[in-house]
Amino acid sequence: MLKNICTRTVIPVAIAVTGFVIVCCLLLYSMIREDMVKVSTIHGTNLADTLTRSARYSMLNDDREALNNLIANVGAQEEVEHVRIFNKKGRIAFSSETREVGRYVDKNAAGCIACHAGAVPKHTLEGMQQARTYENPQGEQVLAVTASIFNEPTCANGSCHVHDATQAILGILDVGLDQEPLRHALVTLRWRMTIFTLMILCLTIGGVVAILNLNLFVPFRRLMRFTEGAADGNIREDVPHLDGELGTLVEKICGIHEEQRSARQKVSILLSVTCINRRKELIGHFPNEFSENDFPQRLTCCYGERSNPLAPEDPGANSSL
Amino acid sequence: MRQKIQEQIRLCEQRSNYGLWALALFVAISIAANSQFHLLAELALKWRTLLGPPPPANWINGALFIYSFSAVIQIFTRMMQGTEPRGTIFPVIYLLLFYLFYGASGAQIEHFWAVLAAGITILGLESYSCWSYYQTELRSAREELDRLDRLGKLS
Repeated sequence: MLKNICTRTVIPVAIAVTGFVIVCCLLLYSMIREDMVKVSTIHGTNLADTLTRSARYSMLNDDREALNNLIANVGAQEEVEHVRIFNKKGRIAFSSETREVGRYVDKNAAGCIACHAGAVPKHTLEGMQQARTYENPQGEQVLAVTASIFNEPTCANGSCHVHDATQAILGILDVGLDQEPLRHALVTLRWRMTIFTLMILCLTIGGVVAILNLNLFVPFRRLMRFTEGAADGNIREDVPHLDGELGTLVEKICGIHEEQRSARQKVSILLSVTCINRRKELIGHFPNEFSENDFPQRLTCCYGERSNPLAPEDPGANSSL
Repeated sequence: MRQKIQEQIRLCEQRSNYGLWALALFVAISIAANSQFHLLAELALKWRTLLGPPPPANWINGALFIYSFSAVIQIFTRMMQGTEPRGTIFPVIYLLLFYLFYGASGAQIEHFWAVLAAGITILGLESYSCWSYYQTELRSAREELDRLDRLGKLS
């Protein structure tokens, strides 16, 4: 199969185009996914920041009911998986899931270990590090963002409840966002990119094959048929009209064939003449075709090595010529 | 003379499979990389202490894109010029480095398929170019051997 010129031409083009388009699509997909996750994380961080600011007034006034309401309302949103506020010890004080209130969070959990890895916990983290992704018991992907509630002078000096001024962090707000819409968008994007890639591949490889077929493979096949015909001696039957290099090749083949045919005719005439003197006379008329040095070679060329007409009929003919 | 040509034929037959060997080696490396992500991550931690933080995944993506493009162009240029394919092992080394870089940046799982697709494309083309070149050389050598055989019979 690989000896066929069409296959040999199309295979490298197909491998290169297919492979390169697939690589580009995979890289593009991974970059788009990264950007989308980044946007989602920024959205989560902003939401956590908004919540902290919204809860500030209620916390200063020790208005627990308003704070509970705020947490419950935000937690009721479809895209929010959970909202909770826990204190420095990890005890959950407010949560959208009421049964969680009073429990302790695990400091070694994925979102907490970033701050609690060392002996002294970190006070601040950059935006992207505040986020963690995990799978909830229902098997859904959740992006959780944590925001520290810092001890401000108004908190430490507040009349409602006393905080030590040296305590840097009063609590942590933890917001979990459902990543199902993002995952769904990524699946859709993957399908669209796959279809787009397949269309590009069909168009590119199809286009290359069509152009090669039109300009090279079809004329080449005609040339092959013509050459096979020429080898059998019926050159006049179907001379293809080809352009460019292939056309020149056809002309050259016709020229060679014509020369061979004329030489064959002359040899036939010569062989039909039995008189040695008449043969010599004929050779004298066609010095180029029947020169003494290359005449046997010409006969061999025209009739083939085994069927040299001079050999079986007249073994002494070469010497006589 | 005959011995020289026979030796050339033997070498061509051997070398025409170099591309396929490189492809097989790359597939083996990819299987190992896929099943040993955790080892790469551990290795990455050791590197991080020695060499500092790795480049971001987007930079490695850009490098992979440029490398794939230039490697394909290079192979096509070599095929057009009809020069002997050399250094079939180098793409395998470069691709292994990409696995290591992605492993060090902690983004190997996401980019595994991109490196695999790039490797199969580059090494597939490389092995085709290698096979094609040595098949042409083999044909010439065999024709030369036939010619010598005919001359031998005539004399």
